Amino acid sequence: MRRRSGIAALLVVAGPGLLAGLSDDDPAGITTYSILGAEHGYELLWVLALSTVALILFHELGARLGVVTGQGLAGLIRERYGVRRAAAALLALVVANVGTTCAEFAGVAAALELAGVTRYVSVPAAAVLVSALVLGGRFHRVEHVLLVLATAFATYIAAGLLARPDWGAAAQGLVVPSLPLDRDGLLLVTATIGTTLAPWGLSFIQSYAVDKRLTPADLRYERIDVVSGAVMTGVIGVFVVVACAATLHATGTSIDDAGDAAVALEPLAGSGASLLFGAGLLGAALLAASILPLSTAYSVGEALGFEAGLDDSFREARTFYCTYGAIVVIAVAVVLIPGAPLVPILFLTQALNAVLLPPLLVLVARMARDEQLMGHHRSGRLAAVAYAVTTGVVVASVAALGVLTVS
Amino acid sequence: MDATTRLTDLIGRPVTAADGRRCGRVTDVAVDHATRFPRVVALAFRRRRRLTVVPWRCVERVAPDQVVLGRAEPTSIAGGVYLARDLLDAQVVDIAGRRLARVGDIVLDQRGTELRAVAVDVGLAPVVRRLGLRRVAARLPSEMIAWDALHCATGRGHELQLASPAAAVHGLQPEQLAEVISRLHPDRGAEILAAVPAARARRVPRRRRRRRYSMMRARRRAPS
Repeated sequence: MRRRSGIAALLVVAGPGLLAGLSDDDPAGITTYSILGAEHGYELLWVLALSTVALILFHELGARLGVVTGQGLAGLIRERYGVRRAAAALLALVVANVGTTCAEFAGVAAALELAGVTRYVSVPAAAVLVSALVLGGRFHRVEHVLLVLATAFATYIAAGLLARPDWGAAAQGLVVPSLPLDRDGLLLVTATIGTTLAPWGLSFIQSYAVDKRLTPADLRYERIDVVSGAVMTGVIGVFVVVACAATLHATGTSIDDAGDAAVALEPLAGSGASLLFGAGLLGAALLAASILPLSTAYSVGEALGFEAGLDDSFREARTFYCTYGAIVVIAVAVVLIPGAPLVPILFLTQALNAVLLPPLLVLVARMARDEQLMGHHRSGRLAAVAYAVTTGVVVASVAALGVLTVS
Repeated sequence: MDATTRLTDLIGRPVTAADGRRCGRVTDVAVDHATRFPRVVALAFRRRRRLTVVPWRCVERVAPDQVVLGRAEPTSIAGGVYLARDLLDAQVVDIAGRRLARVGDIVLDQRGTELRAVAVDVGLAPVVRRLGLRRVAARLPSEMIAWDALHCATGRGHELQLASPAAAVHGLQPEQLAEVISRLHPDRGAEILAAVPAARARRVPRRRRRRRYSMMRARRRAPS
């Protein structure tokens, strides 16, 4: 069997890093970046730069863990730390993921409401679409469709360019850190880190790399895949911030969510920018709405012992597909039921994700240093320091936010 | 006393000396993997921070509420398979059912003082029981895989089963080998191909479609 190399090999391996990275730019992420740009202009771009670095570090780690051990995160936690810890982690993950999926479908609703489509049509249609994709397809077809969906993000780059930003100020904001000490500013910083480095994303990249049957020989290309995905995510985030900074911040327009941003862009940058922004939001929402239930289904299967993958038929992997379906149904219900407390749910979900993140980071970094688990692929000292620093920053910002919220 | 015990019930059981003195609590047992249904050969127990391992012949009696030691000759079984450490919550390939599963519990058959591991439970019931929800667990199905119908997918269990001629994987026909290998990490698959007789390895068919990727990878990595 001829061994592929170079670009061909990279194309075969690419997927986990790209999808895990790009799905982090989900509606919640786009909203956070929009508000970041609208409220603070170009000042906080450095936070995006740092969170991209953090993303590269931990997604590479997740992919490596999956590839070397052949197990997903929840399964690995069960094997190393026992059933109780795995059950606790699983419970937290499932609750957080359900909430995040609600946010994704709410994003679909918001994006299509901009075009005048009622959510009672758009959300069920989206649910059927994402379910049919994952339930029906083989692994490679699902991956290809998801990657095509991800190209919707190019719209943000176009929107950013259309807004005619001040690139000098943007460059400065990227490189020069300035810390807002008020609660809202800190909330934004924490939200940015949290939306980039989400627990479900860490779990997804590991499970997906396992499902894709990657091997340690692929690690070299997988790293390129991870870095590409993370950098693309960062670049898209930068363009979102820049688009809003150039227009909304300059005029002092305040927004509450990404839908507001798309609307507010129109008088300032033309209907083209506005349309592109909305289209990007829809693509982001659909991508994340496909990936979130998938990540949850992987985790549930791994922790309970019913491992399954996209290649398995429904009959072979009932729990896997039923979990996927259940998450979608619950999320759709929450978004559609009038009077459902969507905003508190979204807020609590973000809080839960923020609380769940530090223990997961610590756990994952510990497993990375485990010689018995990783063999000669274990992380070196320098990497361990980098993981510790990142975890420290996350803990610090969450703690600072907690203190500011309570006081 | 003849009975069937679960590993998770055995773990945590008090260990007492013949004179009634408390020695600690059971943490693990080691098995001799050289037989078709492995025999327990050592007992590990912990008192406060101290872990002691004694050969199983020191055990005088196994009762539902305690394990009684006749004498204690501390030893260490290097290179053995410890059931809780190496097998519990690890992945196994169910050769008969053709799937990857995770061990929730291990069934031990007791004849007198001899304990043998006879099956693993990969269903939902043991997971729920270990979380403390015994009554819910009682209603859930157990899924048993006999020890001679499984192969450990991860770590020490895999290595030792490969090294032991009595292990299930050595008795497999090429078709069955293909099924097992297709479900494993390609490196493990390669190790299996390397461990079975070359003539049989050559006859292991390539899988079509689904698991083809793993199979191809395993072949490529195995020394020919």
